[in-house]
Amino acid sequence: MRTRLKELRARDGLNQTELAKRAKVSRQTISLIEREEFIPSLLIAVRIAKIFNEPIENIFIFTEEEVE
Amino acid sequence: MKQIFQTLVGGIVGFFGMYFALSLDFTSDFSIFGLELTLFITGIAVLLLVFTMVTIQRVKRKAKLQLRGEEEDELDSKQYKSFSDITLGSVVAMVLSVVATAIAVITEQPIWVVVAAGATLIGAIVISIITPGLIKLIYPERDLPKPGEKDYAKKLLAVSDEGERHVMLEGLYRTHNTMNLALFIALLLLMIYSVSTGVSQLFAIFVVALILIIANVQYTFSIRNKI
Repeated sequence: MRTRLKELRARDGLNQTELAKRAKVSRQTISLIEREEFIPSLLIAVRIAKIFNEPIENIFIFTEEEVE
Repeated sequence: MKQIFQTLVGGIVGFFGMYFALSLDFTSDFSIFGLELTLFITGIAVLLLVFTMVTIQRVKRKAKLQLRGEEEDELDSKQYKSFSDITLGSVVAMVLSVVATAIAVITEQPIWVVVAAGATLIGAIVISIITPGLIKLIYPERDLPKPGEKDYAKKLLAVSDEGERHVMLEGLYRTHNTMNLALFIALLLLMIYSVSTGVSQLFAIFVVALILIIANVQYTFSIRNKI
């Protein structure tokens, strides 16, 4: 899974700590997602999508093989 | 930090490696160098305690900083790493000081050596009691259980989010596998030592075997009942 989290954070001027607070998770979790070392649950993905006002699939991008 | 630990571990491994290589006749008389060994291990434990105390002070100092943007993220990352270093430092210091105290008592060293090793052990225990309280200082906004509270570890796990649990799971699973292998090797080494020296290590073999069985039974039952 590829993620646009870092890019979107930069767009909205948010640091990891602020995003973590808004998504009600730890900064470590945001950092893990950004480094593509952890796939978040649907609930967290929805929260993050809401914060950036983007559809989930525009933030978390899966390859064809991953979703097949 | 990583370099300090690598150097320390390298030193310990080198020391024991050399000792092992130089004493291939498998002498079991630890009393010959009991004093030097106790002082050496106590010295390492003291150094670790000094390191943890310095790091605790640094964490406390940095906890007062009010930063913004990427600096805030970097600070959080550093504080988290420092907390992990303190935890590791105090645990290793505690184990080393227990070993040092055991050597001093078993090889009948002068009382000041036993007191020095014992005092280091008390210092390590005190630091390990203080350490959990630092989490509250690093994350004041989080509703974390108080250290000493009943089921502290369980409650701390419950308030951790999914990313933190993912990190813990990875670390614990790796540790479980390493521990299994290490304890099995320990059993073999104890058996070889017993046969080579004629000094029975059966008690230690029983203890290690029991730990190995308990750890695996606990792990297997905790996963098999979750279906």
